[in-house]
Amino acid sequence: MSDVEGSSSPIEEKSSRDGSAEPSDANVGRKRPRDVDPDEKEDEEEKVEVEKEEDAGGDNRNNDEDEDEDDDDDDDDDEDEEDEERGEGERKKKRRKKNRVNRFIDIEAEVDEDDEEEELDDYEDVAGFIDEQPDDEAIARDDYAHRRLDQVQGRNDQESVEDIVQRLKQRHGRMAAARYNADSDRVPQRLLMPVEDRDPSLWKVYVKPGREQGIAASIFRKTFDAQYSANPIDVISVFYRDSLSGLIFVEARQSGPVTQALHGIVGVFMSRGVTRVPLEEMAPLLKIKKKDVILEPHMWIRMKRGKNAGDLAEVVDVDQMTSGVVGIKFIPRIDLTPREKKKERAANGRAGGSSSRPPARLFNPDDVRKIYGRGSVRSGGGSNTYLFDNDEYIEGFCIRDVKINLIETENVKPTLEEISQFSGSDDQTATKIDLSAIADAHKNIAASALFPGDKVEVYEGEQSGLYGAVVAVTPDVITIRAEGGEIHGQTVEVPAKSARKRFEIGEHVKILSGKNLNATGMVVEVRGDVVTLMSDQGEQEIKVFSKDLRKAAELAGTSDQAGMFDLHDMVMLDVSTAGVIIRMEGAILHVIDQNGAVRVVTPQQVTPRRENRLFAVATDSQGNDMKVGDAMKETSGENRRGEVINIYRSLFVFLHNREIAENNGVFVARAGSLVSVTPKSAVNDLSKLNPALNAAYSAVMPPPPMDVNRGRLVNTLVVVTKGTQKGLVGVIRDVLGTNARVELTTNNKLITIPMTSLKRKDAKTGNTFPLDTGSAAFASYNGRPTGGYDINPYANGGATPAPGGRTPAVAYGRTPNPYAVSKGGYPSRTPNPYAMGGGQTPALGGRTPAPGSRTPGWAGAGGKTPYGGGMDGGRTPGWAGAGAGGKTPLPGGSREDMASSRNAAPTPWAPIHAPTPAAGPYSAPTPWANPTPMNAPTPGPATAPTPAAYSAPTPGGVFSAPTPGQFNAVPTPYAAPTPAYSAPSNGLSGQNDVPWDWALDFSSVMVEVGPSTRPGTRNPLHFRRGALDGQLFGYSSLADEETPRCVLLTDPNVTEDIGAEYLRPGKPTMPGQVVVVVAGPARGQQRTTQYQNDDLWMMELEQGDVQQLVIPDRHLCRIWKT
Amino acid sequence: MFFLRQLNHTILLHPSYFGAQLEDYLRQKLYEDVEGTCSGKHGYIIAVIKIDSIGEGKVLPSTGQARFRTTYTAVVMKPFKGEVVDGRVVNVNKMGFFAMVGPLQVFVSSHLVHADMKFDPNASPPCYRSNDEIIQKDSKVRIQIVGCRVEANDIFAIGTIKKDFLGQIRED
Repeated sequence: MSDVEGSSSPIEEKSSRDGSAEPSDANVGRKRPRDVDPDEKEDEEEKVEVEKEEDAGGDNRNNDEDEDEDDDDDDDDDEDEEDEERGEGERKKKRRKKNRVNRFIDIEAEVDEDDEEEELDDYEDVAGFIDEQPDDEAIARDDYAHRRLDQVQGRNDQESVEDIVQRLKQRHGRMAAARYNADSDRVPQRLLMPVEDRDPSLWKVYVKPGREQGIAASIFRKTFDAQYSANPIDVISVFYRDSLSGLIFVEARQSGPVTQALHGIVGVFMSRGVTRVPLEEMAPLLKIKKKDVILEPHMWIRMKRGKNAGDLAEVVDVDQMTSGVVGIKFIPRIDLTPREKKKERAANGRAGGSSSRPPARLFNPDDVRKIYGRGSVRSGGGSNTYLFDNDEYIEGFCIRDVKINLIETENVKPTLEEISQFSGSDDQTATKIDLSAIADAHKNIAASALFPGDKVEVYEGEQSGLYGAVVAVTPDVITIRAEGGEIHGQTVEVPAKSARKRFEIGEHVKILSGKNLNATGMVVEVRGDVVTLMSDQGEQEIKVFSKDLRKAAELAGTSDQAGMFDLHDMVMLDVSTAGVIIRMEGAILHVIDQNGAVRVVTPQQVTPRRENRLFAVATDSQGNDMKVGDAMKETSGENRRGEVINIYRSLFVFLHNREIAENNGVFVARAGSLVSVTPKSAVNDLSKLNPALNAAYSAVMPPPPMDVNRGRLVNTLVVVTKGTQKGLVGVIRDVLGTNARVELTTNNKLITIPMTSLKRKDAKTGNTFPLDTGSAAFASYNGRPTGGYDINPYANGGATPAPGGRTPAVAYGRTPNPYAVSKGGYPSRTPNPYAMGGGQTPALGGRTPAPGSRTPGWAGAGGKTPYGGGMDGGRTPGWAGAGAGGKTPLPGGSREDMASSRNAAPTPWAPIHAPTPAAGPYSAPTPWANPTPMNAPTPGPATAPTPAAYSAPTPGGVFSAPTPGQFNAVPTPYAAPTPAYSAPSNGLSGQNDVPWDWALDFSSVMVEVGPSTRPGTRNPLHFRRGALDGQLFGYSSLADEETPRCVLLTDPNVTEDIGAEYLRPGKPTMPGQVVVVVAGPARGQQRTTQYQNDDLWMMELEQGDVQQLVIPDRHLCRIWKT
Repeated sequence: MFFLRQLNHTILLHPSYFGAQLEDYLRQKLYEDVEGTCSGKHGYIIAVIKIDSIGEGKVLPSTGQARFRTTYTAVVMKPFKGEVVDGRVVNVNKMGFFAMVGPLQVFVSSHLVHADMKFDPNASPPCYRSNDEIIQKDSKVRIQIVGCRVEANDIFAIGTIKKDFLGQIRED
């Protein structure tokens, strides 16, 4: 060292300066205030070596110029007086010079140190240098300037001014600034600014981001290498800024040396050119922002290095702030995985442990002892205090003294979760959160989150407690209009940091940042600046800082959809899989797919199908339409209820029920396993064509072709008549064109065989018939008389005809459309919509074609084509009866057959169709057919084997189609599947089953007057314009053929002749009344009411009853006089 | 709160419905369309009291449909902040409970329940229980509405029972 000091060689001096990297350096003696420059934070240990080199090199490099100066100095005979003053003389001066030289090395040189301590010191050097630049340099230049002044004066005599200037510029251009401070201590900043043409330029070079440091170091080395070569690189300095990634700056007079210096260095983007930094930008580029770091206990900071990089920590100790050390508390990340034992770690060195970051968890001495051995953890001073691996652990937290530059104090933004880890460590109550601490942490950003119009509350300072609305916002001060209190209405300015947003319970808010970004909800609790809200999306509570909230629009309907997705939107997960969004967490979607599985996807993984829900329809188990928004119920399984939120492929229905906790209440069901829980809308979409009308039109259309048979043949018992399997018996399982797949009874094998080699086999008789596929053939084969249409020869073959038939009858029966009448030319066919008093009739009629679509036959013909239904309705055997004269009973019939004939009304072509056996299969299972006498006497043999086949599809349809819900829920005999057709005693249907002229069959009964129920009547809708509507009459005799003579019950003197069509049964009103059953299977029976359940009456048990009779009240009529 | 309001509803009628029952169709349609619906502006339409005018049907060019602007008077229910309502609990969970006030669903957060009332997840059905009160499914409760979220066709309210005279209504 002493050598070095004694030496007058500047180069030597430099090395002495290098030596100052050691703590014992002279710099230590000369303590300078140290500024921490947040912009210059490199302290990577790995770079230490490089740095040293740079330092050395940097100094050497600058010797060039120093030599110049020294020459000058030598020339100077007169030593500066100031030198004396400062006492130290030469040595001091040298150091100063060194410092000055240091300036050229620039900040890159300050980079790193062997270890952190030294780093600081070294850094100190640079920092001090930077800091003191004005002072030091001023002095340094002072004497230098004196010397040079003399010199210049001496030369002035001999040389031309131009030469002098030229030379001066060459030699001392960099020192020029010193010229101006000859007589002042302080140099005006302005004069230190670089000057065009006088000072070297800065050249901006693009490099690979992250490699700036290395590249700068390379340039240093290269420059120094070439320093004494024949071809020195004329680069003065190189530096980079952390804040400008991907850029380094080279100081040189021309761009040539820059290119030379950069040549061959990897990572430099020469292609992007070397640009000169404009003069005015040079100074800002080198400006070092000075930031005060004020650390207080309980402040939140983040760590920058090591295992815990990025982790939140709390400042606990600031006593050593002056020495740049602060005590922090954080949750340790101790590697507890057994494979990384301590030895191993030791062997691997530190790097080995960093491969994967152990999770942060509170220190548990027992766990650590298990892994690292008993001796590894020592008990510390206090309770729950331990020492492990040179760190102190108190109550699970690691307490460590760290250097200030190793922590991040800006932009800490602790989240609630992180903070709750700190505070809720002992007991998991989040209420322990130190709100003030959080508030402090957020002070800096508070202002930026405020917007005019926000409601705020001042929570500290002299205005504490003030409420108001923000009027204006500046970075530090907000202007608020006070609300309430003494200064109501006044405008007050308060520091932004002392105000926080205020929300009231019940307010609808939206989250602006954090993981619940864009979630909306209603505030349920406000505690300080922590707001608890109930999310609108999922049923969950979210705690957020009030700064992260803003009031949501009053009508959130549209604003919520700002994003691409909305809750319950349908998305396509892949081509064949659809899902519905059940939850949104920021940009993450939770989706339940059509199979009920929940997946977590990103928006990029799915395709939205938002419009799907507008059009999606499906058919439920009863053949009714369902749309989004309908309330449905599962028919099996858990019988879950829900509102349809989406439908995929008319098959998978997504439902939502708030009460189901799973999957946020969303579940998936098959359309076919759902049933509506609300009665179907009785009125159709009136803006569409009246479906009933449609049905009438379609009567002239041909029946849907072919595939009708496909379903019908399924389950048919057949015998193979040709081929190797000849003689074998089987059941058709499927029909494939002209082939059938037959399951052989003998060996349960499925064979595919042309249908021409099959014959139908009657299970009872064993007779075989041709396997006719066409309806015509069917007819011919059947050759059945009209009355036999319900004895379906294919009955054992399956249920097929039933659904088909069922529908049209209902549909047609209700045809409300006047147009139908005029089209057909049968003016009297318009039925009265109020016929049954329910007013729903027309709609029901309208609805029915849809169920028709469930008919296997129709399905093939295109789903819901109503015309098919109407068509078949036209052929309802009922027509036959009607055609025969309306009231004329059919063979064996009573008035009851009118039930069906009424539906059909007299149409001339009905009789023609009636005998068509084709009508049979369709009409047979219709409810209308059922009560007809034709049905009733049907001999057993035919029906006996079929009830299941018929009844399976039918009762559902019968009961639900017109008024779902009305019968469904009640476990009455009507709901029992079998009796519907096996016995003529059942098979009730919708309201229409009470014929309009029922009253003519009974007498001495009570009747109620209402609108006409007679279909196609030409009489007025209401009897005497409804004057008597709703009144109860009794009647015992007929005035004429269709007009009973009625006596007003309330006033026996009033007698009216009221047409039968206006009369309805007087329903029983209380238990114990004697009634007669006017319709349905129990027709004609006289009973006594016992118990009422909605509109069903249970009858008192009578002799011969197997079970109690339950009859809808509309089928009951009170006896007037017995 | 309930109000009587005169409202309008437009119905499009297909020509196939023109006929004697035209008015009946319209009435029926009106009832179905509006009763039980909710609009953010007016609240829940509980029932149509009176059809003031069924409107004159205007046949629209090109489609032939008739448009009827029907005016009717209906009882509407619109919740207001601060209103005290009676409801029936439909769902209880740890975050609070849901009560139906007629058609309106009100959520009462567990934060807005008296501090001595605790959620008892083990009870069947789950309930909120204090010394003298128990709120479970189907309990009748008196709630003060503290906030409403009004959407285009739905209203959702948040209520509190953390005040005097609120909470379970005893049936005696």
